Amino acid sequence: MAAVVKLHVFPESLSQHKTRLLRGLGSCPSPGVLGFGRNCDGFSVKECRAFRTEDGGDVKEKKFRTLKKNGVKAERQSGFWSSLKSILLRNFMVGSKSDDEYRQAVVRVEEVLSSIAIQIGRYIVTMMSTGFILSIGFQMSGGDSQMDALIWYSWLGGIIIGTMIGANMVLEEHCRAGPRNVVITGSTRGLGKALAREFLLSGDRVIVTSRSPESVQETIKELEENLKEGIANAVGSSLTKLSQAKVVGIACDVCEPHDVRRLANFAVKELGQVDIWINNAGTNKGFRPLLQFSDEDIKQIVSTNLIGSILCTREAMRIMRNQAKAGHIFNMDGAGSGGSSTPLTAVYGSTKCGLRQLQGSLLKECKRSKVGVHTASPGMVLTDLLLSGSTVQNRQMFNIICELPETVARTLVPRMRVVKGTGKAINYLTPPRILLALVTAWLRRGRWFDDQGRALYAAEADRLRNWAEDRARFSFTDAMEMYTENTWLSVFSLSVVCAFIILSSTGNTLPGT
Amino acid sequence: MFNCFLSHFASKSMAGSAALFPYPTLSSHSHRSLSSASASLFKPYTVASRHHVSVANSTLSVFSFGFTHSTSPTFLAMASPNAHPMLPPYNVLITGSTKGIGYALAKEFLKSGDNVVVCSRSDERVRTVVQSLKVEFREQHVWGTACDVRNAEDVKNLVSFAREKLKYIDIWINNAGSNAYSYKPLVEASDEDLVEVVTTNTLGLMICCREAIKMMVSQPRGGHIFNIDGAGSDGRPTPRFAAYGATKRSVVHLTKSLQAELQMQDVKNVVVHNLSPGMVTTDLLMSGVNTKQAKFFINVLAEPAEVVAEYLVPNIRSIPANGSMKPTYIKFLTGLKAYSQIFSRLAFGARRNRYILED
Repeated sequence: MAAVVKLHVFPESLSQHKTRLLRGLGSCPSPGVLGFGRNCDGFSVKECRAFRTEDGGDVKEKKFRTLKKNGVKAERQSGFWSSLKSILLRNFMVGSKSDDEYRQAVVRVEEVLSSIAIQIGRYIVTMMSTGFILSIGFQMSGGDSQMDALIWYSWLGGIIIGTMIGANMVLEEHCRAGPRNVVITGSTRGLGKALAREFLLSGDRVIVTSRSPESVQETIKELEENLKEGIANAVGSSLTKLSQAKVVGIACDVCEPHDVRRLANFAVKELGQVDIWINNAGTNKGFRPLLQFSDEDIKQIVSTNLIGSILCTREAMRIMRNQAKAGHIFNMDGAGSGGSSTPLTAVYGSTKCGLRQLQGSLLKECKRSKVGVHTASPGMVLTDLLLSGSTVQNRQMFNIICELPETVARTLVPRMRVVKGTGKAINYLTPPRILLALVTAWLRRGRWFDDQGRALYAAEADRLRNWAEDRARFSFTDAMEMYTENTWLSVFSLSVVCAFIILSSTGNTLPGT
Repeated sequence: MFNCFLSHFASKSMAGSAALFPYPTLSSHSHRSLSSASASLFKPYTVASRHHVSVANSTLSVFSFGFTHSTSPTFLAMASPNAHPMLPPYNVLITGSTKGIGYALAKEFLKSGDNVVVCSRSDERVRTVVQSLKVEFREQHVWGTACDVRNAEDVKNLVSFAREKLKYIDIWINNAGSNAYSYKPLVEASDEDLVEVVTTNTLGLMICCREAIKMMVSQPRGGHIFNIDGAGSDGRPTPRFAAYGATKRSVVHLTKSLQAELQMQDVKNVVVHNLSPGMVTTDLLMSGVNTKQAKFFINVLAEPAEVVAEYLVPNIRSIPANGSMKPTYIKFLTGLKAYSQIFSRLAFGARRNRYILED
């Protein structure tokens, strides 16, 4: 744990980390652990339940304490460290080196020390709070040695669980730090653009591509505007983070092998290496029976969706094999990926189904390489791909399950950035989301389209303005999704510990009888 | 203890005669129900074998299909006006039919007395094949034209050629498929190979399907389209030929979507089917034998094209003959067959070194 904590003592990610941790702490334990914590109210004298509440309370208490402590810490440190800084500055002023360098060095030292201090303080607080609970437990047990042992067990359990959760968070935080180099195909419109923007605002270096050079230039300009706005609004560490972000672009038709090779070379030249490659380019050409698709339509759909993805995947694998760091390739799922029939979009559906097969085969081929092949499923997104040729009935259905590209990108991007291993599926429409959509279907009737199928949602520019303000706000569903694994882990380990305690207590009592 | 048991038995013996009675009747009843169950289980198979239709891949649909047919085949035929049986000889069109399984199928159809249109990319190969088939099957039953399925114009020309020579097509088999005869990881695959595989297997097939449906909808007899699947269509990963697997998976999906689409449009006289030849010892397969695993499976599971065609053609012909308008998935290499062959190989060493020497 100590080693892990050391890892993330990066000056740049300090305050960002703090907020993340606050966020995580605030949200993570609530769904799972709170259930145990509630037992605190009925703090009865009964043995078994007493221990469980002890344990749950322990974890919960710890969280709250740490939470509070973070706030206190921030205040205190500013006073203390500024004084230290001034002392240091005064002492070194007489030296021969320039003022600027000193200031920088001092700032760095300050950051490192303060983060170490925060960790130590956090530990002290945690231990104190658990010690406090422990002492209450001892008082309630009334000196019964058996009970004391059980309290120790539960204390130990609490510590272990807390460490596990903490370590997971710190690791994730560590993963999250640092800019990624991202290539997104077909990223001048719709979801691709939203993804590019989201990566950019997470401080990554992004390459946008599309068939037409003009739209690539336009998109670059627009995204740079967004980045400037982001920098203007950013403070502290997020500013340093954003200062590394950049966006470049090149025209590329994904079904032309030469174009794809040029894109790969361009990416290597501009970014050095590619961490994430997203095969987002896809096309559909409307909803109608196969008979009404022209030759050109079919050709374009097949070559963009299937040939394009295959060629891009191959190029991405090629460059990722030659680089030091692991790379990740994402292929976009679509209707038909699951294997269910897609009448009226037969061509699109069968190409997407083919991609799923490609994914399975590549998983086997890339088993022992650094390259991770993943799928990302955006669900249904309000883009041209979906809306072109959709009927009024379709649109009524879209009200329920569709989302704006920005919303989807905001959920997908953080997960894409921290993806590990290979063969992961990053889905927007997860079962809880679908359930939520179905339950609130009635409320969602006029969400995007009215009865006549006219769009009710704002244009992209307006949307972005509102969305920039909204960005800072914390999304509960996102956090829940993000930490849901940890929560289940903690609940599981908690129950294991409880079972262990109960077993050990019965083990103690059996010889007596 | 023994006494206790005896007394227990005695006390029960009064009722015993009565109580014992139900047993045989019960068991006989259960026997009967079992036999009736087995009969109902058996029936669909007999029907299926008589119709030479192995329906769909799920047992559920085997049941429902078999049941409705075994009870009232005539009723069904009367219910839908289009379901009157087509009379042979059939007019058959097979794409990519100058070699491999396409050629074997063409030959088998000719043997059954049908008219066949063969085609492939190379004009020269088509001519030689038509020549040799004409020699073999004396009469004028076979026609041929060059057609690159990737080219929509070619496919349209093929349709007009078929219309000109035969007036209508009953059975259209989309057999043209390619793997560029290369088995390597995707990273090493060349641009041309990848593009060829996808355009032939997916794009070509889509265009052929569209043209075939377009042609058959206007025919009074309707028609049946068969799409040939391949490795990967069941969703099992296909490393070393990832692109091929992806295209074949998309073929099966396309068939499914087209079936749904035709149903939606209320088209009753055109049916799209899947056709699974299993592993056939054609160039396409044999070019990939360079691993031990591949050799093993080819020896155990693969069959020569003639054997496969001999099985498939009667099955295909039985569909229009019955007037059945249900989508089917005809499989040569069923799961059961595959497993039993693997088992007999592992248990008795059967089929070792059948086609290729395993070291």
